[in-house]
Amino acid sequence: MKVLCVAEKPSIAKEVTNILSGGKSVRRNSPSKYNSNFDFKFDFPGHGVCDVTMTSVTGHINRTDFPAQYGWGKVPPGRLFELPIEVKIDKDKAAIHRNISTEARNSTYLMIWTDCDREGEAIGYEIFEAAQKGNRSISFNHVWRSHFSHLERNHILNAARNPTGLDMKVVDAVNCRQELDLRVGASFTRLLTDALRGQKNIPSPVSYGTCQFPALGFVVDRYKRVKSFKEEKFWYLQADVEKDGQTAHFNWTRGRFFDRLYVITLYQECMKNPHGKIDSVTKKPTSNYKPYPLTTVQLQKDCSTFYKMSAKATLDAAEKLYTGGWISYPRTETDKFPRAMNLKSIVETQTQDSRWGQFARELLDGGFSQPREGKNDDKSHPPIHPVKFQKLEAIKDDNQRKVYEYVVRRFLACCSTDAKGFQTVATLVWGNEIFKATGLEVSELNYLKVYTYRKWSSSETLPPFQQGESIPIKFSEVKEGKTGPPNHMTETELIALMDANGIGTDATIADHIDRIGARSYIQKVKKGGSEIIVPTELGIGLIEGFSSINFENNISLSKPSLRKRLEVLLKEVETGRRTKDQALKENVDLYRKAFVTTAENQAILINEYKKYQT
Amino acid sequence: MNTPDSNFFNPKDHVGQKESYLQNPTAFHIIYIDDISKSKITKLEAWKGAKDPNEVGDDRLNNSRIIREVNLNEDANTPQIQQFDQSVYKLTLKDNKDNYCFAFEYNDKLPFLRSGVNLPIPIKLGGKLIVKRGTMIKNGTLLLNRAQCQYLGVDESSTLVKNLNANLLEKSINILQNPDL
Repeated sequence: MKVLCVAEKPSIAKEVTNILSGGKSVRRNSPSKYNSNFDFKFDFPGHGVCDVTMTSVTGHINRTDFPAQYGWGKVPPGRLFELPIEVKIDKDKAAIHRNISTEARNSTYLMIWTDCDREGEAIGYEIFEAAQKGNRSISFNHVWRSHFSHLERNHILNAARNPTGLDMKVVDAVNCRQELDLRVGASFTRLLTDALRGQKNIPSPVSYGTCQFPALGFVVDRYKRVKSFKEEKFWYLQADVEKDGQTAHFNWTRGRFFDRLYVITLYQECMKNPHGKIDSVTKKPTSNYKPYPLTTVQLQKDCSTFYKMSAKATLDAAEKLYTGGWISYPRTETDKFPRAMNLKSIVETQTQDSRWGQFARELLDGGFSQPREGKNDDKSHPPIHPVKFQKLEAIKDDNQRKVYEYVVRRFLACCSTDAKGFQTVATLVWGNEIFKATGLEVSELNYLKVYTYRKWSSSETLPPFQQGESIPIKFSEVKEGKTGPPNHMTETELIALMDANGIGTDATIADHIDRIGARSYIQKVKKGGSEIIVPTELGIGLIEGFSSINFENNISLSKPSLRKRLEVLLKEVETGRRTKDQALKENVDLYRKAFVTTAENQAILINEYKKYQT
Repeated sequence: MNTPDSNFFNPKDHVGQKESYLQNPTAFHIIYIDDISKSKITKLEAWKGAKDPNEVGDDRLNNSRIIREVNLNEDANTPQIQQFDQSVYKLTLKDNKDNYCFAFEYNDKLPFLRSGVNLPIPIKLGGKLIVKRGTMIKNGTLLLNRAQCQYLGVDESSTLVKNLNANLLEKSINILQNPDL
């Protein structure tokens, strides 16, 4: 009996082959230059030792598009919401398709080794269709789906021995997203390109994407708020007292007010009393909590903050580390480890390192503590963690080295304990006002010893205040401050915003940001040692154009609401609460209405666009 | 006859006095309400949001708000502070002799300003407020405590109430956008 295995990338095919074959495989060329075939034997439970051929695809094999007769200029763009679409073999992937069909001819079972995420499931179905083309007897029941999240040997062997079937609800969700992206993207792109043709700065085509425009919308919104910012004055009280020759600064618990007269009035009341009273002094243990297990978005945010790496560069480096078998699958939303997972064995692999090996040994000698549990679980992948030990010096690529070090330190920090200390809080009552002073004494660094990205240190200690003591006010004043402008947009914050607003998924956010850059809607600018994102004139013009149109029901094409709705519906398709057709209909209807409104208001859009071109 | 409606309060009479106390209970109409704990830009956004939810980030489709800012320094260690009410209101009042004055909330929160109405200002303008005798006057302003205030609500039929609340959104946005105010 023969089993045909197909992975999502050549590198995964090679790694899984090495593990399943025990290093005894024979490589054959395939019609596709980069997708080799590997023959070996493997013992599948219940089927005995089988002949296995492992091959790969490179992402999707199929392409969803409109037939040629509906091409640009041949139909009004608005009709693209209802005209039939066709799913064809991508012509660049024809050789891969042919290889799978050929290899399937004498196979009994097909085993899918694509990534365990939404796209992976859909690619799995495309592989099944390709296999069926070569061999009609491979039915849906002959498809095994392996579940794995990293390339550690036992994990892969386990995945090979415990497959399930393909989840068609997930495949439906992907097809729904593909169809909607095609219809909305093509119709709006054609409409915008035709409407804005001949205007200044206009590229051809003017591409519209359901994720890209809301992302651009955030960048424009922030840029405008920074530009239009005017500082405002505010006032607050401060009081210093002295004890045993030591001065302590007390901060007003009421914060600040934008009315000077009010603060002065309160100050006058205070000033009636030359003394204040220490109302309470408390010394309580405090903790600096260890981080949550690592998700993709958090990895991108942190690598951007700590290493100034772009989201895409981070994900690319993490992908390479994953296909090399060094870390787990880097696209995950999960921030809690499964209870049954043997984390200590992973800690064990890191004990040989010269930098954090000692720390890992201490964890195994009693310092280990179960990681914190976040609220997110995508049910397919655990949080990102190291799989195999690798010396940093041996990782040639700078980005990969940084990401690997970060993943390991984060993991060890998760398995350690919170940092501990004591916080002293003294409360001063002066007249009718309350002030507080705090002092921090750090007693145990714990996880911070390995998680060197975060700092927590002792502050100056407070003088030995006694509860109830009357104490002279040594110095006090009404202080004036000014509000500061919002921060410019950074890639880190844009990722966080897209994530928080449900635009794109952990796997795609980086691509969307990259794409709006490639389309010259945004640009990255160096400012004071960091990199900020600002919109181009083209980008501002497009967003302001859309913002000037009044859509029904307060929907907006430059804000995240429509796309977020789609993500919610896709989740419902995945869980079976809604069918693909229902979700598609609801979304197509929403976008179609917005399209009609846009088409009717082209003149407004063009006028608004022009205002922002210099 | 000494009734709140016949009494008056002219802040000019108190200029130069360090501190004094209201001699008679006095009736006022509330002409404007301003939360002095918030910046102009915050208030402007609140008014704009009330006027056009889409402009500042209401997301009616998903019944949520668009998140426009993420505090990146906020990590797991930010203590979950219970958000307590930081607002302090400054009222512009008018007595029955058309004297205008300011009044601040002082030392405690005035419950009638916290009825939970979802507008940038908590109550309709033009409501009647009786400020009792003995209320502190400082720098020409009244310092209001809850025990010294009796709020009587708005008379919907009065011209003052109608005028003050007509086009309130636009008026407030204009005031906040005016750099000279």
